[in-house]
Order: sequence, then C-alpha cells, then structure tokens
Amino acid sequence: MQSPPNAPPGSSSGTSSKGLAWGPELILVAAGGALGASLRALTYRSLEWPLDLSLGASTIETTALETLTLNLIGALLLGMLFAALRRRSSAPWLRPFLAVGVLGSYTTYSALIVETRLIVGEQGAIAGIVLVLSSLLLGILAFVLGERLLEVPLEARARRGRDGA
Amino acid sequence: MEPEWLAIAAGGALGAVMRAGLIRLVAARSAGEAMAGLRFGPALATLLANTLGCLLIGLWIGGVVQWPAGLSSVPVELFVLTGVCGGLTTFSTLCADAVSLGRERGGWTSIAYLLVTLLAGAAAFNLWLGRLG
Repeated sequence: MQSPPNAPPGSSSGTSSKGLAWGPELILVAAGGALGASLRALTYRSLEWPLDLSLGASTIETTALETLTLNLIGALLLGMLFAALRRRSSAPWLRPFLAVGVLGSYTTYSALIVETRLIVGEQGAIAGIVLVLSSLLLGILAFVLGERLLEVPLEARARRGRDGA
Repeated sequence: MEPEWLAIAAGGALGAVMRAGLIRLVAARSAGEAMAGLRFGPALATLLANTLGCLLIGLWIGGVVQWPAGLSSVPVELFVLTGVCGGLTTFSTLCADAVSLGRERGGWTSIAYLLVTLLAGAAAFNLWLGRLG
C-alpha cells in the first residue's frame, strides 16, 4: 500500500510501503534514537559555555535558547530530508533511522514545555507564551526552509537532466 | 562508555521506539478508514507521543514516578529525562506534521493542531501539581 504523497515520510501511514519488517525498523529507530539523544546532549554541552559567557543570562534562559537552537536545526534538517525522500525512491532505512530516530530524538518537545513553565514562573505568562509560540513558528519556518533548500537544486538538476536527454 | 552517555543513548533509543510504536499503532487503527483518517494519523501519533512525554517528565519531576531507591540517581535522571522523554517527544516531526496538515487541510487545522499540542502538553506536564496539592 503506497503512502499518500503528502504523508510525512517519517511515519508509516498504513503498511510500510518499502517492505521493512517491524523488527529491523525498530532496530533502526532505536539506533537513530540513541544517536539523536546523544547528539542533543552534546549540543547542550557545546552551547553551554559560549552562551553563558556572552549572554550572562540565567540558566533557564540559556537552556531555553539551547533547546530552541537544536530544535530549529532538527526542523531544518528534517525539511531537507523530506524533500530528498520525495524526490528519489529512497533506501528504506533512511526514514526510520534518520527521520523517526535521529531527528525525532534530537529534537525535543518536553524540554520546551518544561522551560516554558519555568520561564512563566520567573518572568510571567507573556514571556512563556512568547517563547513557546515563537519556537513553533520558527520551527515551521525552519522546516519549510529546509525543504526549499533541497528542492531548488534538485529541481534544477532534474530540469537539466530533462533538457540534456 | 561512561554511564551518563550510556544512559542518554539507551533512553533515547527507548523513547524513539515508543514513539515509533505509537506511529504504527495509530496507522494500524486508521488503515481501514478513508484517506482523511490516514492523513491525520501521523500527526495524531506525534501528538500522543509529545503529550505522553510531557506527562512522564511532569510525573518524574513531581516525584510521582520514581526509580527504586538504591540506584545511582544521575544516570537514572539522564535516562528518563534526557533519554526517554527527549526521545519520545519530538519537535521536528511536530513541525512537519503542522506543515502537512496546513497543506492538506488548511491553515486553521494546522493552528488547531499546534494549540491542542500546546494545551495537552502543558496540562500533562502540570498534572502532578493537582495530585500533590
């Protein structure tokens, strides 16, 4: 059963159209999830020092900024991945490993909620609403940007292929 | 490998597998329905995963869910919070689902989906507040 063309490739709507059994698929998801979470922790650590140094802000604010950074990176990369997967018939391991596993695990929604709650406690409701709404908006923009970044050169290459054939 | 990194990786693996399980569960239940049901499927799975992750983190911070005493606490915290909750919830797929819904069913559906995600996540996270008074 073919996935609907607009269905996010990172999810299986109906049976896996590429024929991955659930065992191997879960292993790929697990491996990607392990990698994504590790990269996320690494990102927090990498950003911690420069952010604290330059902003001198409270821990909650720097953590929220770090979360936003990695979430936007993840959204951007996922947009690129989805654009790539739409273009070419892909290796079946890419979706479960990269989309569901790595990027799904690299980005986090629970941290956003926790940090919003803490920001609300520290700076009031408006600050919390601003954080969470701008995170979502920027995330969507990052995702669409990721799609565009890949679609433009891929489309150009396809057009050259057709013209040159 | 240091225990901290092992805890994070293991938790991330488990969280992602739980999320993948939810995706399959929702897809299986909507497989027999019309196209409309299928298109909601992925977004619903993400919503469930994100809400569940917020519930878990809230219960953990609130002390309702605890690891048995006697086990080292730092790797356990990393396993549950950074690992499982971080892996179970996702921001990237959330954005992808919102964009998908927006393209297939219009902007208002997308906005509604994001609002429900927000409210459900916040409510789930704060659930323990009510229980502990």
